[in-house]
Amino acid sequence: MPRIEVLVIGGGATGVGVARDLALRGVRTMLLERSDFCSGSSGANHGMLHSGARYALSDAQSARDCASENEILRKVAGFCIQDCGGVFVRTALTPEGHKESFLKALKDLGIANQPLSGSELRVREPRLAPEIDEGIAVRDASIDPFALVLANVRSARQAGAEIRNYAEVRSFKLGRGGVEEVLARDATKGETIRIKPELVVNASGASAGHISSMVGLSLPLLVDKGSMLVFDGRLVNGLVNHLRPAADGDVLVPSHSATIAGTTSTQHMRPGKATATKEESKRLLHEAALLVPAVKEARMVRAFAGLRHLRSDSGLGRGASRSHQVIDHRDQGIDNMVSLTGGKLTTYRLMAERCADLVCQKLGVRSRGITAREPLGPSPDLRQFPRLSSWSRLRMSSRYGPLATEVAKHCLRSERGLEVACSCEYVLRGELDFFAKDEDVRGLDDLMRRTRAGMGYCQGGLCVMKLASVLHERKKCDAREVIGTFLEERAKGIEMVLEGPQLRQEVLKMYLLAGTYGLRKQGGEG
Amino acid sequence: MRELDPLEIDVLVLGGGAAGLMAASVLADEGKSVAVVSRSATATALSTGCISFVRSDVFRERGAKVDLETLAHSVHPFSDLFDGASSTLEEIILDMSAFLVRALVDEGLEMSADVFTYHRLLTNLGTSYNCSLAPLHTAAGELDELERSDLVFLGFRGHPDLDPDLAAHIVSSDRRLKSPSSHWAKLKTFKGRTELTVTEAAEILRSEAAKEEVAKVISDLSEENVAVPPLFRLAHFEKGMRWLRKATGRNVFELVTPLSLPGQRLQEGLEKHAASEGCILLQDRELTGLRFEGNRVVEATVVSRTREQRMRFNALIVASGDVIGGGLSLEGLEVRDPLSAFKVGKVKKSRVGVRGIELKALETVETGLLAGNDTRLISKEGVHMQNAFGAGSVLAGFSYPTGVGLGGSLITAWVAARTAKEVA
Amino acid sequence: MLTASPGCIECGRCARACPVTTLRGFEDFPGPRTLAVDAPRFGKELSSLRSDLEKCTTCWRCEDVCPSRIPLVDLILDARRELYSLEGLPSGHRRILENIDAYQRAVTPAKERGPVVKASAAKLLYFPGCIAEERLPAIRSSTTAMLSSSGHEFRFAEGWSCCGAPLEKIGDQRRLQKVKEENLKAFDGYETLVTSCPGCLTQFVRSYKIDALHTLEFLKESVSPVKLQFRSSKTRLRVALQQPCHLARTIGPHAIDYSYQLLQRVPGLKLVEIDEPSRCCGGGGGVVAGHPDIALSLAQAKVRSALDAKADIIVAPCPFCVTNLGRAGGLPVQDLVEFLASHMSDRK
Repeated sequence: MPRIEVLVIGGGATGVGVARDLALRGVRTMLLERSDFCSGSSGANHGMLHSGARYALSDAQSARDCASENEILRKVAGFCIQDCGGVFVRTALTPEGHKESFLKALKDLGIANQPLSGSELRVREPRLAPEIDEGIAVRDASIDPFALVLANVRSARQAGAEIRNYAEVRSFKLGRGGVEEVLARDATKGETIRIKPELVVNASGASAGHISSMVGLSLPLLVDKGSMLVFDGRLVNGLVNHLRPAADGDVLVPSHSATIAGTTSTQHMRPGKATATKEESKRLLHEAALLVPAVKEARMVRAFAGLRHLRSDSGLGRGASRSHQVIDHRDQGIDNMVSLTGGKLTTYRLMAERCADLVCQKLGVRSRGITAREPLGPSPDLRQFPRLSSWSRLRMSSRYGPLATEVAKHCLRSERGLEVACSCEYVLRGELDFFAKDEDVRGLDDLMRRTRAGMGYCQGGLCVMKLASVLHERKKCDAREVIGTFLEERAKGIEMVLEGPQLRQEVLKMYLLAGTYGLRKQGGEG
Repeated sequence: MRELDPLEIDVLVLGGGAAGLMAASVLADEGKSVAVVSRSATATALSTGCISFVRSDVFRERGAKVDLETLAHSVHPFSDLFDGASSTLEEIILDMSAFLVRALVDEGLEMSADVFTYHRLLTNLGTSYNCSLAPLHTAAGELDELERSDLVFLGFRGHPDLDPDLAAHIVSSDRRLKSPSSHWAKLKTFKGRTELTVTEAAEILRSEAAKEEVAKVISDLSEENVAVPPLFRLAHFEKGMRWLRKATGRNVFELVTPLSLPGQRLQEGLEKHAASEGCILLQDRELTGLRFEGNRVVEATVVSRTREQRMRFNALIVASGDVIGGGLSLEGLEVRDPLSAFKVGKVKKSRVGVRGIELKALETVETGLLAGNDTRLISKEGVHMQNAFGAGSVLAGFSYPTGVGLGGSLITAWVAARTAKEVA
Repeated sequence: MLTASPGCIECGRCARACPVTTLRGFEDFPGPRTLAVDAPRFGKELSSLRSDLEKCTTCWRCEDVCPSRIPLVDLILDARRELYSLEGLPSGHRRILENIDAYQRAVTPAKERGPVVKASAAKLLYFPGCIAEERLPAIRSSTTAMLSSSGHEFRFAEGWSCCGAPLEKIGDQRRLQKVKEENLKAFDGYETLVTSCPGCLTQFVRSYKIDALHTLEFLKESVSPVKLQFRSSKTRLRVALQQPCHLARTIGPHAIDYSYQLLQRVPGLKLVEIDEPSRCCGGGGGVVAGHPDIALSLAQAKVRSALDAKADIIVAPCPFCVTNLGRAGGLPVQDLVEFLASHMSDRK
């Protein structure tokens, strides 16, 4: 087997971005992700494609990077971007003079913007609080991180990279030049793999510190938790930012069938996954209501948290720079390892490119990155499938981008492909089946990430059986177990927003799942 | 709003689900004039249509047959509600279930009659399900009987309620049963449709041609026991299932299925019986006001679209359901009485019957209308009502996750009716 | 702006109760849950479901069985209003608009006009509605005969327009506002408004927010039973009553009770119960004009139920039910008031 030149650790946006970039340059690349792709920070943010305006006053470098990457991603990854635009709105909390400084900074940085009159603003966002009468339009957009990451995985594989999920790095063997061997456990194949890469890229996000400590290095890394609250329904047409110095809960982002309110910022000291607290949810609700009072009547579906990994030399909390850093550990005695810290989803490609540039330089590979121009995939045209309802075609295009054509074909070809499996998000059985046959898919969460089934307001309660049916058909899993695991995962996000309509939904789910079907105990009862 | 002529009635029942209809039927049987006011959408219609009185954990300890005492003391939260009256509780369960079974058989829904045979049945997901009373055509799928024989799950392409492969797989984890097989049938009468509603499937299966086709599919199978999803509406259920069993010589039985025909059948059967006993069923109505006089409720205002009607009665039975059925409302985490008439609270020794995922907020569904031992309600000012009674899941401690579902609803309805009889 | 509906618990009862989904399947009509609750959550993308939204007959059955009482039909009508545009309209709907612009009627006027009733100062206003006026004049004449013979003076509203119900169903707010204004002016000074059409009645009560009655309500609530004597039907007719959606679920079950009560007073009649008597006939919601095949299928299913019950005739207190069921063929269909009028006793 030909030797792996670069081992990338971490399957979030950064990691897969690096793997793709390198693979397209002809570098033999392998990527290992310990869980499913996009299940770390990349999968726990509000899906903002920044215009850069948000950082205009606080972090000029990030602002500039975001603005240019925004345009690039629209060209190469348009399928996962909803060009809904964004507005910054002035409220009673906007400090005196802030708007003027903001506009000046945008101008200085060359970030496109358009002041809006009260009536223009209202046409764009009819649900804004009535007192809001001034806004500035910017080129914010909503991006689907799952679709983005999965498209990168696909593209990297097509370019020859070996990408594995559910494969966890266990240990490193160090030698004179640095890392000699990496030991990892592939849970899907049930095997231990030994890799002798020429170079290692540590793109493990919030775990970057953990990985680097495994080779005896310490990374200047700060981990910061950001919580978000999800409302059912698109309550805003585009992004709505609160025009004020960065604070908790000052943005609302429309995402598929939901509106995400974010975010908070607290130092995260413990290892492991982050969860949103009830107090944070309450705060986010309060802040969101300042912008769109209707959120008070909207249904809160769940709350979640993601970890930001920031350079610790960048200050603390909100003031910390979001710019990324590529660290060459040669300076610390490990010649062949590079770590990545900081960065945002919007600038993932740039970060990956810079990393790939450094990697190629170290490897002596004379190749330039092409990811700024190379599309991640064509936009699909599903009109060739009139047998699919127009609603299905629209949902599939917005979810799967370049892959939508294959998925659509699969739905039409397979016998039960046109059955509706998840009605909130309108996912057909064929869509689930298409991904269920993938080696990458082991559990219902993986299916959920790829199809959005179970992400709607019932949070999988009424469709989990259908999901399990599809997975069982393909993978012969223990259906009871996958159902239980899936529901437990959903429950973690629901608990802190459980009240009113969502509580009532959970009562019905309890009737059904715990009561009638006895899925959480021995036997159901009448 | 224009008014209709006022209605004078012995008993007004609020809520047309299992509890309301049971109470209404009992009182009508006793010669009282009864009107049932409902909003038409009940949780009963979403239920499995099967009824249990004993919690499954108790049953498991004691074995297949349960004696009266165990029954009486294990039923939660009856042992709280009927403190020191366990012999009465035993009689209640016997009498009530006899009444229920008689009522339903008249309407074409034959139930297993012996409350002491605790059935262990199969759901359409393949999980096991325990209950005391079930339609005979469902009880025919008793797990104890199926233990050593061949079983096949028969699904029909396009029929929404059974995925036989999944069900067969899930059953196999219950190692008591021989590994069941699964079979998919493609009925010509379903005309290649991807996804029928269960209502439409039932419409199609009414025809002789469709039934013949199903019978042929079953006859071609080798297994003795054939599990099918709900196929028929109430009007054609008994005839249809009997015919299939006779035509094929197999033990064809219906799987326990929620959110489908079985719940609708129970609902329809109870409605028909209440109507045949002379109850006036007023559907699509909403109670908008109650007038109190001291410790009595004397009048209700009921609205239906463009008409208002005042109703005067001697007794009121509130059987309007929990947060699902609508008799209780949820504001944030607070459970309230939407009528703002009666006291809401928790029954002290109640437990949340749901284990596993501990969602603390679910504890709020232990809250409901407070009632005395005889189901008499308490006004929100704390007055014990003389002629207002509660029945069913609207009562504190009787909402499905905490109580025993239909069994609890029916028992409280029986007690409420018997007590109300005196003042009606 | 379309609002997301927080009350839904995904129980699926609405889909099971919807006559169009039950008849045509999810592939053809995604059903009330998708159209009214799930799809609007995607904001502006709802526009791709425009054609499907047109297929709802607005029968309100879904709302009836919804444990959360979600106003599903209102949500669908909201969506139609939001998405309304002339370009996207089916030709049948465009014709309705043209008729209203040209004739103040939803249908082209009949060639033969009925007898002109002199204007009077009567406080009772009779509103026949477009169908009774232009297509089923027997309804108009039998109603006016019954009003007269029971001693009630009435008048027509001069210059009346279509009530606007088809416009409500199509989503044309501008024309709806116009006909409403025209009618309110034409109604000026009335005390009681009686109409033959549940569609018109629903429009008056819900949209105009004025008090109005169906002929049946007027007959039962304002006319002494002594003045309503019926004679036996010539043969032992087996009569099936079609319960109109726009009466039962918008005006109230009392109107259906009245229908039965009046029918029961005709001697020699056998009332037969048909399966699901309140299930939609297919005539509402603009579906007859927009998707005539669906309207016809529903009507045929209805007629089949009546034939199963061995009915000789279907009566319905609704010109839309009468017209649509008539299209299905197989059984005679007659307006209920017309039927009653034809059985009125000659004795005073």
